[in-house]
Amino acid sequence: MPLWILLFPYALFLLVFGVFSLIDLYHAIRFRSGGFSAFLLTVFYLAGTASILYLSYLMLSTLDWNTTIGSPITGHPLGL
Amino acid sequence: MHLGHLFKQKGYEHVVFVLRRHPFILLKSVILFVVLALLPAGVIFLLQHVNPNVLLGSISFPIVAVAGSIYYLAIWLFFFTAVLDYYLDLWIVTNDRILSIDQEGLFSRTISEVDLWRVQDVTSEVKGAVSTIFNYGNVYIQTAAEKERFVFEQVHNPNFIRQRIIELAEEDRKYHKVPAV
Repeated sequence: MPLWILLFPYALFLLVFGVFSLIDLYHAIRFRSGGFSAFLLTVFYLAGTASILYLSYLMLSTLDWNTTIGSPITGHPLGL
Repeated sequence: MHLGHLFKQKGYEHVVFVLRRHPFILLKSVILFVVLALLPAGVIFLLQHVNPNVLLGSISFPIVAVAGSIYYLAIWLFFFTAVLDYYLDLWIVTNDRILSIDQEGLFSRTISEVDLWRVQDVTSEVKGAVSTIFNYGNVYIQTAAEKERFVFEQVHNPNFIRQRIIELAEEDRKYHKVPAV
């Protein structure tokens, strides 16, 4: 089983994260009560999200995703 | 503050208070976020003391990296939702009425209003050591029309707000020919 299989649940999480982020940002903009505070809040959130995603990319992009995850039953090494 | 899109102001109406929960309530969420953000660092530190290579395997490192990314994105989203919940909960007091805008989670938003002249009884409550130190608490507003009370939750200086609402209600009754309560 290749390691890149791990990326499927990650992609699913990113999808859910994106949907919830859009709902949050919609609320922040639609129901804002101040002139500038909603804008600052939105920028703050987007900057934080971009930072986490960028750091994640830096870590994940260096990995060899074609490494095979083995099983003790089949005798292949796990590489843990 | 621009409030025109939240409610339609009458010609003679002006905003007296715009209230939110005390900032200390938001600080609790900030502290929780910082603790949760530092937690994996502590776990990694401990694991490295037990076995320095445990997180560096060709399988374990990608798992930890993906799990870490998911963890930090999740707590960031929860933190932002908590900040938004704080930011969107609002009580507006004008010289004519009181509006309560209550955001509960992502999919529930309640907006209610009451005319000031209907206000019968106003109670302020400061409970606990932290609330007393930071001077925040609840203000309960009982109206003639409804059995349910209007509540300003964890607002700064509740005693002053109670006093001011009583004054505003008395002032408003003069324009509605209602005998003083």
